[in-house]
Amino acid sequence: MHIVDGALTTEVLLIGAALTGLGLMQGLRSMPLEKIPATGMLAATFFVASLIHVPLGPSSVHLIMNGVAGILLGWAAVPALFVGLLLQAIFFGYGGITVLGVNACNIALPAVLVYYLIRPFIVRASVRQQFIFGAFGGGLAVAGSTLMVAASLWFSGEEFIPAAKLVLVSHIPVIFIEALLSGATLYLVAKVKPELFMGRSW
Amino acid sequence: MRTALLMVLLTAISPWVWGHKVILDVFVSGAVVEGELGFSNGEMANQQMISVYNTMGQELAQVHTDKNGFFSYTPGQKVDQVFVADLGAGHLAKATLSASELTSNMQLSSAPVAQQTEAESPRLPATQLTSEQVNMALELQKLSVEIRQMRRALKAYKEQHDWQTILGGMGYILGLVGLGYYFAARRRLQDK
Repeated sequence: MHIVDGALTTEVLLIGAALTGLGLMQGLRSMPLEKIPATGMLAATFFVASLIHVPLGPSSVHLIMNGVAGILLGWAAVPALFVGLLLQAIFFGYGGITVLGVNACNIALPAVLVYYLIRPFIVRASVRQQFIFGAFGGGLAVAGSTLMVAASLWFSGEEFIPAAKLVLVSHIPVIFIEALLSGATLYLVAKVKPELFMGRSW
Repeated sequence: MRTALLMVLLTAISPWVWGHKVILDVFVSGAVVEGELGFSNGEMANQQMISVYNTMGQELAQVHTDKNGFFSYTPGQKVDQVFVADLGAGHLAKATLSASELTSNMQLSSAPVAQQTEAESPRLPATQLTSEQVNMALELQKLSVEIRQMRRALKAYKEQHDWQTILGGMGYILGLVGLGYYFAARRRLQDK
């Protein structure tokens, strides 16, 4: 999921950085005091989850958990995921600094999209339904990210369909695993800390 | 809290799924440049193409890794050599070997000619060598293999993630949460 430095054109890097900058501004400006611990917690979850790679055939895949971050945080997911990506780039060399804007955009924007699509249903859902909506949101966020990664590569000159196929196919297991984990996480949140779903996060 | 516990447990019980990334390592070995392409968890990338460029972006040669992710290359020019392996879907590994590292053993010309070599050590004409020289060559070959293994281990060690680094990242996040609290509290006080 992390695109590395040097793989994209300057135009794509600049557009990604600009979109992430706007997302960060929106996320920071509207982050309520009460959401800060949850934002930190989800940034840490993303930071660790992305480090756990599951070997799969010739390659490996890793968890992202951007769906959960999006549903619980809304726009505040952008700074949370950005910080996670920044620390991964600095500490582990995943992705890179110049491509950070694009990577953040690819991972955080689907999270915000899931927030708008799923959140209205989640706040009204029963505890069991939370699992289904959470799973759907988790899977959708990863699928959105894979398409955005493919689009970034496409705008940088690679053929969209092969790139999208390659990224999407390698992430199909992640979509399912992520859906299950996201559903379970939101089910747990609904059981033990339902106030996280209360109120608007933006 | 339970989610946090689950994440910590998941991380703790899964040392076999630690993250890894594509690593390209190049080094001078006698009269050739050798290199390896693999992952930080020790897996090697077999039959992958690696392009060699100069600093102007002109392609000098293309080499392929063998089944052990190993490749060998004879540079034709004394210029900085940039090795790029594109594994597709944004997975790009790059390594640079500066011109100063290229040894005088190499047959370097001013013309931009490069040769791809097979991924095996250059063979010496055995008929012209004494048994002592053959033994010495075999010893050198063994030494070369051992050094290669040490390089691989060193690279893997550099790339491994230890708990200190991960906890360091968590510490940064905690610090940023504190900073966020400060600014949010200040904003709330100003609003009152």
